[in-house]
Amino acid sequence: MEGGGAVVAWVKRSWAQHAGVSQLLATVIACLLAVMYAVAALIEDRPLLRQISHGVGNTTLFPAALVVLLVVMMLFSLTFILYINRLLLSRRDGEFGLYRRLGMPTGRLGVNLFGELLVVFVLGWLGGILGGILVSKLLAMILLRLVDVSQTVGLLISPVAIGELTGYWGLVLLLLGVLNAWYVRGHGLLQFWTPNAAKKPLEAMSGRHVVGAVGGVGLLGLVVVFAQAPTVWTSRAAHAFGDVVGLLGVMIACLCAAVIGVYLLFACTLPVACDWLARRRWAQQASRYLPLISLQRRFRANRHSLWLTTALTTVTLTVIGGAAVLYQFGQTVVSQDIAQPIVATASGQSVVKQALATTPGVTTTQLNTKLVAGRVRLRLRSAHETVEKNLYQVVALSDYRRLRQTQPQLPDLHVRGRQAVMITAGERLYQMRGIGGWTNAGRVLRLPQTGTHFVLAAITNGFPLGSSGYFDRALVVSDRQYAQLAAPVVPIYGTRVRAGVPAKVEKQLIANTAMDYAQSDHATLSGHRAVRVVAKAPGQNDFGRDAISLRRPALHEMHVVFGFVLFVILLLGAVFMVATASILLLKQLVAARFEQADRITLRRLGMPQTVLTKVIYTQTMAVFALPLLVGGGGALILIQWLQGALDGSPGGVAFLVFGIYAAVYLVFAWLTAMRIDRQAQRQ
Amino acid sequence: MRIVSVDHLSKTYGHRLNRVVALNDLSFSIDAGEFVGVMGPSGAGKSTLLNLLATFDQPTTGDIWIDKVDLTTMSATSSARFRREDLGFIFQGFDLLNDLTVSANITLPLTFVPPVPTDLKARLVAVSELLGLTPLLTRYPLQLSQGQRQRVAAARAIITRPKLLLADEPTGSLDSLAATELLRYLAKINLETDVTIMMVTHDAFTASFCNRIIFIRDGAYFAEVTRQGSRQEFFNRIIDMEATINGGGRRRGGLGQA
Repeated sequence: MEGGGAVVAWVKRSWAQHAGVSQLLATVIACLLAVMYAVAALIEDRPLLRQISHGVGNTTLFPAALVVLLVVMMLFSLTFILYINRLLLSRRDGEFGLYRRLGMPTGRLGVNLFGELLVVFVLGWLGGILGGILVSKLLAMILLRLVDVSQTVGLLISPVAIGELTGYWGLVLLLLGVLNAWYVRGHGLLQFWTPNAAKKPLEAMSGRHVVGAVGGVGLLGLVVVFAQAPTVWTSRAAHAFGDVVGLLGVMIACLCAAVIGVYLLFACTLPVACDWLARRRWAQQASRYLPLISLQRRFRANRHSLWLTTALTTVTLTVIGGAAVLYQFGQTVVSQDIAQPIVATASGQSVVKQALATTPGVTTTQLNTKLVAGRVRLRLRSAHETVEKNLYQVVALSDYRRLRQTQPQLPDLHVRGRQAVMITAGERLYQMRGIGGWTNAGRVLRLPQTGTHFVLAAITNGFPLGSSGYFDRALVVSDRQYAQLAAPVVPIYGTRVRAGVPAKVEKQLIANTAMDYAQSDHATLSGHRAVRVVAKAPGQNDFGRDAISLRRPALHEMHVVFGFVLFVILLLGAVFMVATASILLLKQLVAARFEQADRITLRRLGMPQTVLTKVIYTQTMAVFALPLLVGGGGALILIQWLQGALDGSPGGVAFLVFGIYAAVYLVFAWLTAMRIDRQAQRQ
Repeated sequence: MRIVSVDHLSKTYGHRLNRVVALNDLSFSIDAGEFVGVMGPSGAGKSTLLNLLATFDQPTTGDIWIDKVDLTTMSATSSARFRREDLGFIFQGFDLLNDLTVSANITLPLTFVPPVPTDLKARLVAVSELLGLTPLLTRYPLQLSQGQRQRVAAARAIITRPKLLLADEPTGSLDSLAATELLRYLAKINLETDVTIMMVTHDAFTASFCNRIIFIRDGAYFAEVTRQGSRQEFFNRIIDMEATINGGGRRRGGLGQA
């Protein structure tokens, strides 16, 4: 009983002494647990997941993916809590040293610390489960929205999920209890206070720092230059050192340059820049040079954690930005593929017409194309040149412009005389802007069967009515050239219905799996035989296209797959983001504790509170902003590279996600600054 | 000219049922250019008095006037400006910012609000020379001895040309040699810059560098001793007064003890 009373007394005293940090730790545990509960509850809600899985026809995929997500969250939470716990323990070294010198046994100290942790974990558990139940509905709604499923959903209450997570966090608590007891057991009696950077004078900037600073900027500059045209550099490396060695070598070198460059940025470049700035006349005022000096100390003491948070920021933003790009890519692909609600070939259009015979508000757009075989020598991304033989559906410029009025994403094209614009799905394979950029403009495209030729004016990836109506490539030529071209006419039809395609009609059209085929044998592509469209595949390598393509079902399928991926990544990203920001927050609070004496001195010497507040906010926001800016820059480079690889997929959703991430991150920064400022005002 | 006037000053801490009277109807005054010491036994209210004069705290009743300015009616902003422009401080623990060089520490109070004085460098050179800090300006506080650090604090205190310099046990963290050296510098500052100094101390040797000592006991004025004759005689009179205030005899030492 006496022992229990002593633990309670310790916990009360400790809570009063470290209330802020304890509440913060409990809040972080509650946040992690809430998200984990929501995921666990989703896994347990089998009917909901079945409904979501319906679109892709696989009912085990989504629960399995959510289980993997939960396991990753568990592993990450464990690592993060261990790190935070160690950080919080080390700031209390002086306190533990005092208790040990006064004769408290290490076993008792360990038990007392476990009592403290128990209170924090119980509070975190309560908050986490309650928050999780509330959040579960929100997450389920987001998931349903992302995967394009209309269904109502309530709060998800799952005793199984509660039991599993209580067990997990109980194990984490026990592990921490053991580690803390082990930590205080090895605590030296003469350890009066944490050895900290504030006890050493600031290192004067030396030639070594300047070399490091220049090296950091140089390495990061190289990475940026590489990122402008990665394919050019990898191609050159592959050309010089062979495919495997060249490609791997240049990628590993780039990764090393980024990792070392960011480290040197925090270890040398930014300290040198701060030192240089602090010596300028501009920085004579305390409100300017004190944050610069403080930043220099942070760079010295926390360069590793700054580097780590920058790396985490890059990874998190790249992963969630990449998922957002993929999500948007899925939608764009469908829109590029099927530009109207129904796109049909001549054979499919008769079925469509019949199915919509009684439906009001039907508008049909017809596009006539002429099917020819063509040959052209093109320069590829790898800098090699190759002669490509393909099928082309030739479109008259006036028809292209007519369709562009209802399909505004098509680029504005101009052709004169024998000029032509080639339309292909792999546009980025054949042209690139910027460093090492090239185009294939001016190349001569020959149509062997007709004996004519065109000069390529440009290459795009926007097919009128969408690529689903084409066997292979398209070619936009002037109306005169189109009229003179002797080739079979292959029409494509786009159909819109004012009130949307009725579900019954849609079901009927989906059931139609007919296809058109065009021969692509050597004789046809060489122009020795005319291109023919047939209903059955004449050979294995022939081009085919769906007779009827429906946009809504295709979009739904894309939503289900990429929406689910985005949901999983967003959740994981949110956990990573909270962890990254929490590390910075706690590090800042620990550092602020060591700076308390300085702030008291400044106030005693007459520094106005407004100036002190400005100093606190400036240095706090700067410490948060640096990993965000540097990490965000890295992520931006990687996202741009991904966009390039996806043939210039739009990144609007990715930038929205970046904005939300930055906003949440800055809220953490603002909360930290506010807390430090409030502490300073109380002193 | 009277620079400090303390009038029926009282300071009470705690609640109705647990009150501690730190200062009890204390009155005294200091003239411009004086080097005054405040002495008294532990708990006499020396530090409380200094905190009130420094505007770190507010009195319960009574008035404090420094150069015709009433400190008891000041807002937080005004008191910050007053501390910055009219007061200088030397604390027992030096209170230097370890990340700033000696020169940045000295000029710190002049950089809090714009504009930064155009003669900043000239002032820095002058106080550094006065306190023998010129060769140390580019170093950091942690690279200095305790005595040197306290001289940096003294330089920081006088660079703003304050009307009153408040020193709270300035030799408390120093060995006897460093303490003597600092006290000589303080006397030199008092003579050469004519700044008024009020120093709180419990040490008779330290107090013997002043011109006048005000003794307080239980928060109230007890007596005062003014220097007449040699420092040894002044020291002996301080010891006698300490014995009186403590209610018993005390063996006199000599200044040679330092």
